[in-house]
Amino acid sequence: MSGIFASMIDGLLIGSVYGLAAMGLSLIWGVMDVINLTHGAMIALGMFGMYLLFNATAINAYLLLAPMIAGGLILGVIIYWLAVNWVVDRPILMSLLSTFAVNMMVIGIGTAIWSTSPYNVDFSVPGITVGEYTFTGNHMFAALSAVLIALLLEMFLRRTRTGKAIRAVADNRDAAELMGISSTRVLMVAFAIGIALAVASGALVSTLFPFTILSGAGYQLKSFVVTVLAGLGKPFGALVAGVLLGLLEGAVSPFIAISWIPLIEFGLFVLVLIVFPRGIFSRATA
Amino acid sequence: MSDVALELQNIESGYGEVQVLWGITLKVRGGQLTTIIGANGAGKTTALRTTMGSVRPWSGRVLLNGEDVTKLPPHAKAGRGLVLVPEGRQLFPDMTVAENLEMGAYSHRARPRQKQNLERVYQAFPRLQERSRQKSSTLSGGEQQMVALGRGLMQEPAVLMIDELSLGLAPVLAQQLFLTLKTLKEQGITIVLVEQNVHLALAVSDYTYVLAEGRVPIEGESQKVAGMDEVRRAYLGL
Repeated sequence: MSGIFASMIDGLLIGSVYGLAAMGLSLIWGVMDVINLTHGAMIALGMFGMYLLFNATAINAYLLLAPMIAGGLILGVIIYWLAVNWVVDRPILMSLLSTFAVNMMVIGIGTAIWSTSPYNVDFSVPGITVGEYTFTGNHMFAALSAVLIALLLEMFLRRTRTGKAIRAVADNRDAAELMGISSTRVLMVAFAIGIALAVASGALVSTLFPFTILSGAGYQLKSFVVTVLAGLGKPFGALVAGVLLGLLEGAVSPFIAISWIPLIEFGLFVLVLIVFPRGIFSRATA
Repeated sequence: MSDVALELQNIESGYGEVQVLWGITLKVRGGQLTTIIGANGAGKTTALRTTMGSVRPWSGRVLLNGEDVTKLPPHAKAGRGLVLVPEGRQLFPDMTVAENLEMGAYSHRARPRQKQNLERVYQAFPRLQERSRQKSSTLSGGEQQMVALGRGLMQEPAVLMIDELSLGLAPVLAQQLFLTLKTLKEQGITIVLVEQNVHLALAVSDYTYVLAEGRVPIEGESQKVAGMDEVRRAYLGL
């Protein structure tokens, strides 16, 4: 019985990283109605970015999150101007295609550089042993970092002038313009933050598991599940839903083969879409 | 005569292929309350939205205190003090009343006077202070209109344009908002009012433009316009 307990704690810790990734997807959708299909590629870039940075500096990998996030913001601004600004107000298929194109380019270049063989970040923090189970330090640090970043984002959105402008644009873009808010600049900032969150979550995952340039795809799919669980455009709900998804994975993984997990997750996805079409955290308001 | 605060010169505009405004020219004098009346579909809202830049003018010029601002996007015009309280209020539904008002003070122009302006808004609408922590979507229609107007005042307007102040409000509340408008005018704020209640609009305003099919066939001091036979027949039902 304590086996499933340990597995669930593991799931909970990993789930917070899923949640962080999904926050990025959710923020971009909520603010500009763009489904960002570069998400998985950005997660993969986060993994390889962490790999390169760690090998170059050999300092504590979790301290490297700060430069990783800064890099993610810059990358986000570049992608926004290259591929997103032109399609924001166009039919949704346009932004799907343009972000998918960026995704394919990043994956293509990444495959050329690193092939599709696995890499790993050779860094570990000592764990804690309780009875016969050891909780790895990396899992705990990754979860802690994810929650910390999520809280910082929430505070940024609630307290700062720019954060409030992002919420105003998400709520009513035309009205925000009338207030003197340059909505284009706000969209750029929101997109950059969304990309930075994807990069940060990829960086965290790279300290937990081996990865390839294609690994982002699986996390992108999990992000979709989490985002739908939480209700589109609710970043903090996405963190909670991510933790729930992780818990679910932890609870079932001792009993079934790993390859069945996506089936369960997407079964849940369909079920939620049918039963709670607006997400489990949405109240039934108009 | 006081200076012209806002001027539209020969503005034409519309949506897609459909032309709505066919060359309208109007002058709003500083410190006055100017009203635009007209039937539904005459182009009143389009005139305000074109002035603001939410709808692009096809030709003509918009001057704010003598400066040509025709090509500026709405946020840049707002930053210069051209303020629109839009039709249907257009609040930020997921933000609280206080946050909605705070967004009014976003621009560099309005930020230094945020505190004084907030006091002024709460003084004019004590109800908003009581509800300051409530989400704006939970307010009644009248209260939402107060937030919209208050948010406009927070913007430190050089010219305050209001689209349909009384639409959908109970008569008592509409009266109360018109009184507030009068007070604001006495405080020296330049106001442009688009209003479907022609009686009230003519009564509170200094100058009136009548808009019909995208043109301005009649203009004049409100008292005179109110006395014109064609206006009385077409818009006042007399």
